[in-house]
Amino acid sequence: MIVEPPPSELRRHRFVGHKRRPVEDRRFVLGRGRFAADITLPHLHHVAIVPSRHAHARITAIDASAALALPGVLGIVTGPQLRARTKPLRQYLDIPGVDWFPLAGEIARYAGEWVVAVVATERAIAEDAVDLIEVSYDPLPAVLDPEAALDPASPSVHPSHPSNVLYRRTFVWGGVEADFAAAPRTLATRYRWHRSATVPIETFAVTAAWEPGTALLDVWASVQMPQFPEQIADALGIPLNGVRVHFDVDVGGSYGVKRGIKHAVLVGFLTRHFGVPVSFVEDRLENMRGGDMHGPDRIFDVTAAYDDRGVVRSLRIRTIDDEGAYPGRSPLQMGKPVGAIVGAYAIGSVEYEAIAVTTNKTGQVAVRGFGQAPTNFALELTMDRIARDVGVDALEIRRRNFIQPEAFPYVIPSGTAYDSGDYPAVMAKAAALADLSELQRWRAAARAEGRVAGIGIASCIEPGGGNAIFQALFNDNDKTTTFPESCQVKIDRTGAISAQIGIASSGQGHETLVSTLLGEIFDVEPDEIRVIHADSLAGLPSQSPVASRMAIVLGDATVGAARRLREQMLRIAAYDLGRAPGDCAWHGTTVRTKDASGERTWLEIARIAHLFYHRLPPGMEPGLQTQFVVEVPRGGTLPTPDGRVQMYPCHSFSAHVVAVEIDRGTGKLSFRKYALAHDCGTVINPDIVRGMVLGGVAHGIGAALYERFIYDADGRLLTQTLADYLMPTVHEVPLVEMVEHETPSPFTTLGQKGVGEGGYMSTPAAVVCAINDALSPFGTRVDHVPVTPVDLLERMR
Amino acid sequence: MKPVDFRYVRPLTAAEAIGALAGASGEGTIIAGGQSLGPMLNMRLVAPSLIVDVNAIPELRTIDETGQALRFGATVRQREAERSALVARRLPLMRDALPHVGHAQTRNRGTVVGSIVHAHPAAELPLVAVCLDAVVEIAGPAGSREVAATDFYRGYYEVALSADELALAVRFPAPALPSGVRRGTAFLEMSRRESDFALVGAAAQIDLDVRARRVTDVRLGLLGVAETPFRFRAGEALVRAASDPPAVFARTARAAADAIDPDADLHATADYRRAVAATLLERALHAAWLHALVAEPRA
Amino acid sequence: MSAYPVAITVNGKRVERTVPARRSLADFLRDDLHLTGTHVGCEHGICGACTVHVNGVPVRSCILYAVQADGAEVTTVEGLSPDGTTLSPLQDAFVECHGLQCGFCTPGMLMAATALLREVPHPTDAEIRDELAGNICRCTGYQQIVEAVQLAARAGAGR
Repeated sequence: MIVEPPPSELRRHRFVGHKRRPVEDRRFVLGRGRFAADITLPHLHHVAIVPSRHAHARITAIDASAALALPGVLGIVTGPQLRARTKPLRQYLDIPGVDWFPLAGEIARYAGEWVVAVVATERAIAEDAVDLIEVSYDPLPAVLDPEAALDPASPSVHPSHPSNVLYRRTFVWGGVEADFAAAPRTLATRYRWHRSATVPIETFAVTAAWEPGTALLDVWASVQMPQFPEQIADALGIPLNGVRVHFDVDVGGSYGVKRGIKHAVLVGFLTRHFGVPVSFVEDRLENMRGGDMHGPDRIFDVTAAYDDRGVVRSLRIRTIDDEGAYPGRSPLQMGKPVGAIVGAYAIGSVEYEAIAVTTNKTGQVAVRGFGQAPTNFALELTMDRIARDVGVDALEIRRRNFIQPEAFPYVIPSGTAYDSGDYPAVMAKAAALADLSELQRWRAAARAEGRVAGIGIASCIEPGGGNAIFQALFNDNDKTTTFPESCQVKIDRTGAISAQIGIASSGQGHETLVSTLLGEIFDVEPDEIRVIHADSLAGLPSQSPVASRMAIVLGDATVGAARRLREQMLRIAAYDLGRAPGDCAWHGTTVRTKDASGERTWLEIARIAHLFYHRLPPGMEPGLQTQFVVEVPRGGTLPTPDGRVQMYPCHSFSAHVVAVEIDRGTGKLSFRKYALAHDCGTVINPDIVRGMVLGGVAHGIGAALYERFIYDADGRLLTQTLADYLMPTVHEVPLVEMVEHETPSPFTTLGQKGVGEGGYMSTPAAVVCAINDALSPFGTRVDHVPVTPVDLLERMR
Repeated sequence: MKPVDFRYVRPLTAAEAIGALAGASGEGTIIAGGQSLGPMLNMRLVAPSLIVDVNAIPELRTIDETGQALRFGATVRQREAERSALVARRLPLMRDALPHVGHAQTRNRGTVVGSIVHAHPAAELPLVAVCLDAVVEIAGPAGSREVAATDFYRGYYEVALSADELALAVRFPAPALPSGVRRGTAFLEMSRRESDFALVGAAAQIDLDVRARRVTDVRLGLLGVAETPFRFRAGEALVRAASDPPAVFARTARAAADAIDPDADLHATADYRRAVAATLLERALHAAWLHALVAEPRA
Repeated sequence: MSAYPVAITVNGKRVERTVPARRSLADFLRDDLHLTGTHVGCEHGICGACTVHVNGVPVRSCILYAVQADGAEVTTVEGLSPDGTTLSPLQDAFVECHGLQCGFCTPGMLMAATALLREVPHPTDAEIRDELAGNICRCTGYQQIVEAVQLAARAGAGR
């Protein structure tokens, strides 16, 4: 478990980059986390859901009389009741008439869609009531396949929309046609990324309490979502300053999916309707089939144009994404990859066609990587096919195509500049860590014995920063360019430091991030610094912890706030010492005159600020507090008409090397080696970074080999429980060796980039590349995930 | 996912348990380990009006040596059997199968008899019971009866046990091996994840007269290939009759592939199950053979 | 609604309540006793987040009903610390190795690992993995969890 120490020039940091126990961990090991389902309120009532039995049906009658007579049942709400008094949930595409509400109206659009909500004194009683509610349906024909949805004759999921195609646009960046015409070779491949998601162990949970005395809606939720309070307020018709979302709720894992906007709007409606606090904790069935928390469900057609050395000139990428019945933010997962559309490679032109279709399945949501994992999969497998065609190995093909270290900032055809990187160095580190030549000897020996062995190499760009300008890219009516983050810092009269952040955390260690950075700037022991999560009224603008952005933007906001306060403290000390600020300097936590004639300690300065107004510089506000709000670096411009734009500011990078063996008789895959090199710029907390990468790899193994939402011919979800939706246990995740590299970003205060999504974006590609290498003696390959033992056995016959 | 409400009793004798079941007019269910029943209750796949908890009945708790057999009471935990030196010595095939049953944690509560009675088509212990000619001891309002494991499994999750009966124990014949005979066993599974229900599995037990190099007894079985555990008697005959048994293992495995008609489901095609069942059977035969060659002679 | 009296010793303290038969031990701990450290992730015995000790043995509390635990001794994650503030050696090792992120699976992992170390004070890597195979984590990829258990074993946590 060696993590390579950062380069020596970065050892100048006292806390940043050094081991430090994450502050959050203590409460969790004591079992004292505060998750949404842990929150109790007086008179709290509970919700259970009647789900649609049909993939597509007209709802003709609802008979709840027996349910309403059950003791403990407070009441029920149906779709028409809810829809009459709320606005539809936000769509990010320009698709008027495609209305998404928490409950189905006249039409149920997928099996599992929520039809009736029951409120009772206990969840068990609410479920008893659900069993007593009779819903009558007239089934309608359903469309269940994304390519079938392209057919104008397919059953219409949303009749108010002209077809089942919700979005279709082709982007052309650079001289694609000329590059294809000039290229000696082309190859085309179809890839299928089947539907899966990052499925946290905690389901979505939300409690809402409407207080008529103050006209305030309090919400506690297991949430990771930008504009969550905004969308609740909008749907319920409450002023935004009448909604208070409590971000001091611990979230039990999200990895993108805990949007829960329909859950929150439902519960917000119910508490106002019934006049009691209401809690909805999804059970696993409600979550899997009806939570609208599925991930990308993609078909890719990729054509590459390249020369005889395998240097790629141009790419044509077409992707179809099956959004399910209610898209929301999910189609934008075809937009974010625009910001890294050529991966790590110096490819001159790209044509990119993105198509979003709707089908009669549960809706998609944001998933770790926001579309980058499937896109990287298609890209990396294509590089390997090219390598095979020109007769070089997987490492060499990447060397020949990498953007070189001297080329940064490097502008890719779609307009994004990659900030910094050294891809050849990181790849070399991964190969060395894996002992690639030993692996190659092992593979040769195994093959000589008739065993099936392969080595896979994948690289991956991990954009970070969360400039969600893909909203504007995919919708001309959306001109949002502000994607902020904030930090409020104060130093009290005892000199103790506190900070307030306006987000909920789901394991990323934000309290540790902020206290480490504050400790670094103030030169104070980070464990003495308190970080709390504000609510949405007390907190400042935030885009929430998505997009591997928090180290970047929250980091910058934190450092900005700390520097500002530190400068103010120096001015207070200087004034009190009768000197100009330029004559003074910090020594640790003391301000000293440069001629060493006088000093003021931290505590003395804090007391002056809070208690001795007569000693403060004239005009200075009493106390020591500041807020700092940053826009995402390099943000603030809209896309050009041909869709070019600076997407995320920072670009982390990983290189993975994987060796696998496949049992010829059963198709079972086992790992011989998993090694990776990772570069996220300046590392703030090594254990947190390592955990994020290893966790992403495990998620990636799940997507590559085990996880899939499978529907039957009638559109019912077959994989509804964790018995059938298979998530990796400790046995399925190999020992992962990891080494760090640091190429700082020129655009952030400490050179930090984003971390969190990279493992998930890389691993499916690396694993399937290894599988395809193993299968190459058979002349077969795999172009989809998940890859099952059945798939492998078929390809080894 | 909360169950429907039910009444609950925890009797101290088997007779009380049977009386309670009788009083529930077929709507009562026994709970022992609860590792299979709990999820079904929570998902409302079953809705009994009465649950009879048999964990407090003392005579159901033990593994007993009775004559030439090993008898498992209804509440003997899988984990106890896994650690039992008696089981390892006298029923090595069960010893091989137990680590595959669920997870370490589920084996803390799950029972040997419970798994045998629950009859999941890919479960290990029902296959062991069928291969080793176990006998299920049942008590009901009409009295006691016994059913051979080979007659016990009727169909998919369907066994010869009615709603008002209690399986008190399962008895495994475990006679001492004749002098000079060694026993080798193997239990192999293919599952998606290490601790999952198997897609298919194979069990092999070979008794080998070492000096004569002759197989005196062989038991072969497959799980996950039919609605019920599959005892491959034709294969056993092939192996017993062979003068050089390892030379017929491949043919035996091919014969197994021809003898079964597996289902397709979410996790595997019929062809896959057929092919892998044969592969695992061949591997199990070789492993059991090698094991018999090197095993210490057992008393 | 059924109603049964139960007397259960939880973390060394005897409690008496009346519960419906269908109330799981997990819900009893969380809702009746306000011990919310035990988490519910699936309610069908797969994820292991609900793991507690019943009579010293780790079990899934979502598929065990409180009435079944009448008369039993139950230990939850809240019972691992001697005083609610001091970390046990295993808890400390989890923090030292960052063997958690969101904390949701953590109580179950701790209960499973505590039982393992009590029985096998110096487990091999394989033994640790076998014991933890019934607990799913989506955050960590398990490696830092296994390292935490190894560290705890070296620190004598099983003693």
